[in-house]
Order: sequence, then C-alpha cells, then structure tokens
Amino acid sequence: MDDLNTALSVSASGMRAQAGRIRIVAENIANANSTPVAPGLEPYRRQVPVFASFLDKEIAATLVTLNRVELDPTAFTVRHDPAHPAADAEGNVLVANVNPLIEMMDLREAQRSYEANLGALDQVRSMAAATLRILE
Amino acid sequence: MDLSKSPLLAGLGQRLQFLAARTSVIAENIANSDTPDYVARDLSPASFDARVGAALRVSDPRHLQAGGAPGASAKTHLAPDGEASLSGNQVSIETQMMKLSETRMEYGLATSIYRKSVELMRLAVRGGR
Repeated sequence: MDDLNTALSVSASGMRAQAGRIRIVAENIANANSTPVAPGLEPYRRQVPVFASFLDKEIAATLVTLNRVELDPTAFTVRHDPAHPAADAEGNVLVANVNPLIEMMDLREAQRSYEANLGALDQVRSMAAATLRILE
Repeated sequence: MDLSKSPLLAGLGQRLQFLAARTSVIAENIANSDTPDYVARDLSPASFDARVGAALRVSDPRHLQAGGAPGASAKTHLAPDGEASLSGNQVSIETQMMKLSETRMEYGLATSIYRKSVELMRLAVRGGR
C-alpha cells in the first residue's frame, strides 16, 4: 500500500504542475492584445513554463514541479496604429508576442497530460480498492 | 498459524508489492511526460540468477541468513519509449497508459487469487459449512 500511496502523490504532483502550466497559458491568452502604456516601453512578453523532475527523499519518488517560468525572446508583433497613445514616431505600436493558435495547442497538450495523470490516479485508486477487498 | 509463511500467500504478497512499485514508477513517468530530458523508466522483476546471486551462501551454522527480499531486488532501469520530443523528453503517454492498465489487471488477478485462497482457508476452518 505504501507504493500505491507514493503513486498517488506522484500523480498529484503531475496534476499540480499541469494546472500551473494551464494558468500560465491563460495569462498569455489574456494578454494577447496587451500594448505598452507609453512609446519606448515593452508590451507583455509571452511566458513559457519549464518543468523539472526532482527526487522527493521522503517518499523516494521522482515528482514533477513547475520549475521556472521563462520569457519568450521572440520579437514583438508590430502594428500600425498612429492614434494609439503608445505609438512611436512612425505610428507603430508593439503588441505582445503571443500567438493564440500556439497557446491553444499548448492548452490542449496540458489538458491531455492532466487527463493522463488523472487516469493514473484512478487506476491506483482501483488497485487500492482491490487490496481492501481481500478483507471482505 | 502464520499466514505469511504460506508459500502461496507469501509469493502473492511479493507479487503485489512488485506490481505496486511498478505502478509508482509508471505514475512517475506520466507525471514527468513534459519534463525536458526525462527518460521513461520501468521496473523489471528480479531474474532467478540475480536472486541466487543476492542470497549469501551459508556454510557455517553461525552464519547469518541474508536472502534479501525479492521485492527489493527488482531494479528500476531506463526504458525510453522510442519517441523523443524536441525538449529531449522520452515518454509516450500511450505506452505508459498501456503499461499501467497491464499492471492494474495483473494486480487484480493477484488480489483475487489471494482472496480465493483466504476463502479456501476459511472454508477449511469452518469444516466445509
């Protein structure tokens, strides 16, 4: 039963990490149209979640965690909008480097991984139930 | 009567222990299916040779018996799924889910045999009633 409890903790850590990733994707989508407040400033920069595995010495298992959030170094989109308060001398405005299509794909992938962890959790739960049925 | 001394129940107990440990390893793979440079792992049962090698030879009655639990000698090893992503991750969720359900079924089999043998013993205790 100890190994099964460990497996539950591992799946939970996977779900937590994927939920964090979904949160970051949501932040990106929400800020897809962000522009700077004044000329010469930068708009919202896309965030990229990076996972890392680590050994939990207490339960001797490799868990996963949302290690760090990096900034996407790709160039900002330039939009011509002379009426915008943040437009430069040529009338161009920098817009966040977020591509909604890429974000949606990332969201789908995170969802799929989350479901896989949930499936693993369910299997482990039914194994624990099978063990307890020995007592009946 | 010590039930854990019964060869059938002891063997099944070790089998359950091994399958639970394997489930834990597979859960780790699924949790790390998006971690850069993570390579899938698997747990393989100890071979007969390894088990014989692990047991210390006793040539004197004063020597201690050190057989080592078979569950403990099962080793984790790298088992890449043959599918690598750009980040260097080598876990295929499909393969891992298949392994998980395979382990789940074997676990179910072992627990039902365990239950049946306990029932058999109960039947003997009750004198067939």
